Amino acid sequence: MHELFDKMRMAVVEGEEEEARILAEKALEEKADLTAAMEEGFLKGLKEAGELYANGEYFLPDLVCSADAMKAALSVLDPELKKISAKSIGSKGKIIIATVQGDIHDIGKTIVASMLTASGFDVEDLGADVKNEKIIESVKEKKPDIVALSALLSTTMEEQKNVISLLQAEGLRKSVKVIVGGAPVSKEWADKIGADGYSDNAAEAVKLAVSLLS
Amino acid sequence: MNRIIDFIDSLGKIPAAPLAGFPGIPLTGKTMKDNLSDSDIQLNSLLKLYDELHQDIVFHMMDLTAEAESLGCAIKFPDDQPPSVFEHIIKTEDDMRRVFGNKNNLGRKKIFSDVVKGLKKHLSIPVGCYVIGPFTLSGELMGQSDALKAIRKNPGFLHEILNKSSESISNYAAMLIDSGADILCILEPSAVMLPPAVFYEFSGQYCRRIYEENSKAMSVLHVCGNTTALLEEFKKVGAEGLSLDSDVDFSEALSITGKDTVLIGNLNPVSLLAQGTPEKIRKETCELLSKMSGAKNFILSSGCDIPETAPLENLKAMMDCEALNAEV
Repeated sequence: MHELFDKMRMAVVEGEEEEARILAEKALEEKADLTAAMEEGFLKGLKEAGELYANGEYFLPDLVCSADAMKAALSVLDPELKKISAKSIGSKGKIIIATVQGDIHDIGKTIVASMLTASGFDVEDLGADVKNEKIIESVKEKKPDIVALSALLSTTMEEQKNVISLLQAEGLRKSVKVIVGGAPVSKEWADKIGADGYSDNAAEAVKLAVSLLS
Repeated sequence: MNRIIDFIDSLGKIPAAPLAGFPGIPLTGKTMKDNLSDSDIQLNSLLKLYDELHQDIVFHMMDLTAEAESLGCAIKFPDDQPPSVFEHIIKTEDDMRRVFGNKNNLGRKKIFSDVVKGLKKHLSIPVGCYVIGPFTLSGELMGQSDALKAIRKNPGFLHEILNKSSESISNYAAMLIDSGADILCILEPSAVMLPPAVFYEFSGQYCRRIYEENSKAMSVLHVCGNTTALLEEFKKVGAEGLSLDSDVDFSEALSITGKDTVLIGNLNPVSLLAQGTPEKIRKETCELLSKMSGAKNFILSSGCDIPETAPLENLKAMMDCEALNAEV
């Protein structure tokens, strides 16, 4: 079993999506302890990838590969994992991230999503130009701890405010933390619209997410 | 040989060339979509903007979807937002063969080529054109994350797409230069995500090829974001000018790129030029000009494309300061 977990760790470190998927299926077949599989296997690999990135040995392409390998494993294990609480599998928390509607810029969001994943968060990336209604639906369905919204245009940044209003209208605002980012966004704007936090770079976004959930 | 430095020399002052196309839209009361779909409308907006600003170099409006669209990507084209690619059409070798095998239809490329002709006809300043960069286009065709992953997992496939993309881009550049463009600016925003060790392999060498195949025009490379770590690698591309964003410290950049490459930039187009006050703009512009005074290889510009919402008085404030320094 230990060997299996180590292979899982390596699959994520090396960004081997197919291998990660196969090993995840094997874990289910062999009725492995999924908490251990995450902690000693997949998640451990992701943490390692994050450290390699912090040390300057891994770059964004490597992080994206590792994050996708992790996602491949999770897509197999999810139904079973749902039965276990997030805390016990070492996930720091669940985050939904999106670039707001009308805005297609996603380079920054991709970097933030990758770093959050590498730091141990369970991140669902809804993509760019995401309709406000879709964000609300996802919040209802996935019950994340944090919603992270990116906007690069001064015109689309309004949507961050609109999403917060919609969350309030649906009685969801208190159940989730909202953080915002993007070139035209500032702390002042974040405060003005009632967001829970703002950061202007990926490393700070990770710290922010950690502090909001601690 | 750096023809842009020659141009600066002939001007006798620091040129001002804000990346200002969209701010011309409100001057003619049409939508952004109108401007990006009709060359007469776009030309009219740009000429009206020139009348107000009298910049030293003019570019047509920026559109990062024209190339992908002509290759078959579906795009979203709202009335008042820049268009965007929402369909990634290359996942397999077969997709790639199909996409690049189709006779390349011109699509909206013709609009920009006609705008270049119009600008050349009406103005006597250098006219710049934009084409998308190879790695950015590959990201639009494959999906950005997939392009990043391919660097590690499927580089051969990525290189095939980069190769074919560069060919397509090079042809478009040739068309724009045939229409009279004096400056060829490659827009490669996705390069900011590349580690320095692979930039040249997956972007730089293809950009270089595009410039070499279109050497009639002066060459400029534009990459948004904080590209300080990539500057050393940018030099290998051999572009005569580097258009850099507001997070880059230009004094530091100058020490890396040297006196034979022109630095273009780098006032923040959103927080300063669109959202700031004329006073703040004048102050920061003057600070930048003062920092770069004495450099024969600098063009005052914005760090990236200026949004439509930037008020005319803001852009004039930027140009104002430029005029103040004209005598220096």
